[in-house]
Amino acid sequence: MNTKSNVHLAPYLIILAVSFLFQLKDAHAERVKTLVNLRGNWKFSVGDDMAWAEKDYDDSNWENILVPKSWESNGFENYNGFAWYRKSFKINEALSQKFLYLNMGYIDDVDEVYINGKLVGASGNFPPLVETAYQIPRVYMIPTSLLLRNKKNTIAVRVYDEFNDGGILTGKIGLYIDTDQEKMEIDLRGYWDFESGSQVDKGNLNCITYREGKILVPGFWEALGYNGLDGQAKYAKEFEYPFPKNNSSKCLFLGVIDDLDEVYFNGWKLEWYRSIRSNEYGYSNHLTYRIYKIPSYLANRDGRNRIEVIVTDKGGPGGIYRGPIGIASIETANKILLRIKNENKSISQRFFDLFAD
Amino acid sequence: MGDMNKHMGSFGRVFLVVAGLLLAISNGLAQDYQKIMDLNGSWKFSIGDNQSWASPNHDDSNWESITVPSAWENRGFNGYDGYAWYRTRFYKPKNINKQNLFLQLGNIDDVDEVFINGKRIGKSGSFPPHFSTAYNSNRIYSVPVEYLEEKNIIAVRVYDDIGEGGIIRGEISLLVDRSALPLYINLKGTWKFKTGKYAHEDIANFKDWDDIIVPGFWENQGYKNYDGYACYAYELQIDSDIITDKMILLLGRIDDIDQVFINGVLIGQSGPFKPSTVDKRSDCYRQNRAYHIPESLLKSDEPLLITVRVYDRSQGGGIYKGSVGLISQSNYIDYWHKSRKRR
Repeated sequence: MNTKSNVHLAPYLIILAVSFLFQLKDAHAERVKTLVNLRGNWKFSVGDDMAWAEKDYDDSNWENILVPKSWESNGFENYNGFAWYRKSFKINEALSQKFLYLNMGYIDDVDEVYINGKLVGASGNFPPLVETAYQIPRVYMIPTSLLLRNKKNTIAVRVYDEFNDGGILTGKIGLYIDTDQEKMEIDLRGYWDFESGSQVDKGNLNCITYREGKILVPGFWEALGYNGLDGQAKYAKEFEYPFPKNNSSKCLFLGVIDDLDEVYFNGWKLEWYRSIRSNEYGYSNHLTYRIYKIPSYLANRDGRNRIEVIVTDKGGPGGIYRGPIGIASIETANKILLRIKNENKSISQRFFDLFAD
Repeated sequence: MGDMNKHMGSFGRVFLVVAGLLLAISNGLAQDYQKIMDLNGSWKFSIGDNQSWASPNHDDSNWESITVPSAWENRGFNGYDGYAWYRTRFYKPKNINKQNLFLQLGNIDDVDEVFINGKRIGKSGSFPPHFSTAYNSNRIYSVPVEYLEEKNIIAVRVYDDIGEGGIIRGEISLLVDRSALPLYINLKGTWKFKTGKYAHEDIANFKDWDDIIVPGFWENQGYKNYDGYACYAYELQIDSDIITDKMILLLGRIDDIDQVFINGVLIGQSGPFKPSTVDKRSDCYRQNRAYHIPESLLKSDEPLLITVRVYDRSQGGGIYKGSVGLISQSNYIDYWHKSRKRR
């Protein structure tokens, strides 16, 4: 290859990179179903009043504002400080899962999210000692029981911005269902024991999902009360599961983890199920689907089983942050892996298509 | 400027316009006065001094008439120095209940004190025995709309030391400022001030500290070339009974960073309030400071002691510009929501 053709290759590599990014987005879309899209017009007021969290607060004379977009670009130039967003929505379909995901995208700097008056998530620290969480994607796990069917639901978001852009800036905004989660034989989402060197952030103590010494899985730990935590933390969960008597092995799904993890089952370290780490384009730990094989001899058939996960985060958001979390058969694992492989293949397909032109 | 224009191509002019626009945007809270009533013309006038002349009930029918603005020396009072009063009437303008109303009296030579319906709205300079003139400042006083009735009386007490005297020139008028923050308590004026990293630890003796005018760079007030830490203090008596809304403390713009306490309780600060904060937020000196006051602090009738620690890295330092005072949250919300619509 001479220098000249190298120069010609450069645009393709850029297109490749871009298409790769799109592909990741698609892959996410495929196993996540949108229940309610919350992009668009919200009610907005600067200032701060806890009464604004209430489901039936009258916000009719509030401003309309576009979400996601900084409030500066919505006409509130130079405004820093507190502001609230409110929106109501309806859910018509019956919900089978215990939890839904509320995605609020990126919020600059600090937020508290209320659904029907209940605090369901908080990130960063409000004044007087402000700590920003602007780099943390706000994904909050919401107990389905909180939502009213066929009736008005209200979401209210309390935001504090210290300087520069403020508000709900970018990202997906809505309520989502993880469809892969439905394929799990046992749902291991929910409260896990959690040990780290950090104290819980004050703002999270009032969340309805907060339990002392526990953390909700999945979710970035920064958005679950550990905003300043980088480095290592340990997750643990005990559960009962009647493993089948036929000695067939199972797979443990731990969703996606940022960045590295070691997994122990009843004290034994688990190995990856198949080599999904190695695909021809390399991998990023914080985007790789975790599936571990539980050899049948490790399972405690009649009593309790214990999973421990030691996670090391190298900076930025951390933790077991995305589902599915649970145990399923090897067949299910194979199906999901095949789908991921196809998703990856379509990346290479695009790549070759470019050169076939 | 004329010379500059000659040498500047259209690109240069466009650049100037753009720069001007940027300046206008960055001054989000700049004043934007609009005249709503002309008060030039014939006023009632009397030499002498009597506090009861401030009262709306005082009968001024046998007072002289005088043209405002003009020096009284040119209106038949040649050679007169000393006290004199001006009075005039006006009807309450329509639709101003939510506006920020100002009375502009132009240049007054030398000292003045202004009343609306008997209530004092402002003062410039200092009457004898500690006389000091304010003859070269354009008087613009904030008029609390709640002082107004259908018919209103303005009374202006003036003291002239030597030379020309009176309301001598300017656009005498009522103004509204749509961009102004309607303060509940204006805290512009004299604060207590002490330099040093640990100045705040001496807060018990703040009454002995130096005086400083807020807002204004400390460099212009006796601390030339001072960089580093300093502490401001202001004691405020409020009537807890009449506070029905949440209050926000506005401190205008501060160069560079600040840490604010009320009665010893931290209510806000710029980032971690460390010298390194200035590097991380190079434009923090341009931000308007607004801190929500915890409601518990407003529930007692004890005076509020506001303490503002400031760190300035270089050049101008201190609380230097903008609105300083307490604003009710509902007014603050109105202000921001209205400012949005204008854009």
